[in-house]
This record gives sequence, C-alpha cells and structure tokens, in this order.
Amino acid sequence: MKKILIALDYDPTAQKVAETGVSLCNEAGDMVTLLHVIDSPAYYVSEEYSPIMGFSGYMNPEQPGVPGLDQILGGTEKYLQKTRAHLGHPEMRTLVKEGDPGKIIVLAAAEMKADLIIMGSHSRRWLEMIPMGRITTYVLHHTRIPVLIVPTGKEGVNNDLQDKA
Amino acid sequence: MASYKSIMADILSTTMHIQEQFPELTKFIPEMPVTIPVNIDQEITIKSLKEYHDSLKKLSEYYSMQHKAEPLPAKT
Repeated sequence: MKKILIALDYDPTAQKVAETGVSLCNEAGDMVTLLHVIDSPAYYVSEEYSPIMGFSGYMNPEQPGVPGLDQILGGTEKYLQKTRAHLGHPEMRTLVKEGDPGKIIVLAAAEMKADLIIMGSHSRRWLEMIPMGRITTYVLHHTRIPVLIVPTGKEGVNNDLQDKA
Repeated sequence: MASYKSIMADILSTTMHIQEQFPELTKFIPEMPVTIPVNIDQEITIKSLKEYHDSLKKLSEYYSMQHKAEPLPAKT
C-alpha cells in the first residue's frame, strides 16, 4: 500500500495533476490524499471564470473584494470534495491547510509518511502572484520523499504549438 | 512502445536522481520548456510525457558531463 499526497492549487491545470496522480495510484489499498494549501486570501480574488473539474469556483460575485478565511476554507473543502467526486476515488482523503505552501506540503507529506508527492510545475492562474515553480523547487529541496512533477505548462502554449507542428 | 505508467516511473526516477545528485538543478525543473497539454479537453499523450522525460534526462546528463558526477542509473 502506498501513501500518496497530491498537492493541488486552484488552477485549471490542477485537473491534469490530479488525474495523473490518480492514474498512478489505482492499486487497491493505496491511500490518496488531496491537499490544498491556503496562502493569502488575496490570491483567491479573480474575475476569471475558470472551471476546474466541472466546478466553476466558489467566490460569491455579490461579495466583491478579498474573501474571508471562513469563506475560503468552505470553498476549498467544496473544491476538494468535487475533485474527489470527479476522480471517482471514494477512499481519497482531502486536507486543507493554511500557511506557506512549500513548507506545508513538505510537513503534511512527512506527517502522513507519504511515499510519493505529486504536484504540478506551474499554475497559470497564480503565475504572477505565487509562482508554482518556486513552491515545486522548495519541495524538491526540502524533502527526501520522491516528488513526481507533472509538467503543466506556464500557458499551455508550448503544447499548442507542438500539436500544430 | 513504453506505457504511460512506465514513462511516469522514468520521470519520477530521473527527477529523484536530480533531486539527490544535483539539488542545485532542481530550480530548473519547473522551468523545463517541454510540458504536457494543460487544457481540459486535451489528453496527456505518451509522446508529450516522453518528450518531457527526454528533456529531463538531457538536463541531467549534460550537467553530469560538465561536473563529472554519477550518470543516471542504468534502466533495469
């Protein structure tokens, strides 16, 4: 039995990361945990409509501005539960933590004695504010647990070009 | 033709090799130019994963040549 931690941000690329992770851990008995780390509430402000796992987001348009922590926590729980339903893995655990994403991912993986961490290389949504690459580099530097990086592109441009070539 | 799982295992193995042997290179991993399709309606293909793995291997091999470090372990 493997313990696998899949770290997800709130970005459309998270779907690819989650699907990749689950495809690798479909052996019976594998314990999969989906983790989302809440950094700053300001990062959750977006006017974009960007569906993830068929879920369009949790921000209430009637309450503009930076959301409160309770609102983010509730939304994030809902997001992870929707993700779990999308992935069709009923035994999957979900975990929401608050703090520095890199540190929390390393800590959570150590606490659950994870055999593998799966995370994306980039976040398109937060690229300007929280470069996922920085978090990925931090995790690679600070854990001895194997880390599988799902190479999600910055903009998806590279692949669009490759596909057309 | 390699399977999806075997390529992912290769990617993990090469990433771990870089993580252990060349930690100073890890900052380049998120910057690798070859990536998988991220649009929801695009499938992740074996081809894109293999291209990503090849680019990771090249990074590791080139760096190990320059620094005379241990090469990637032979595939079993």
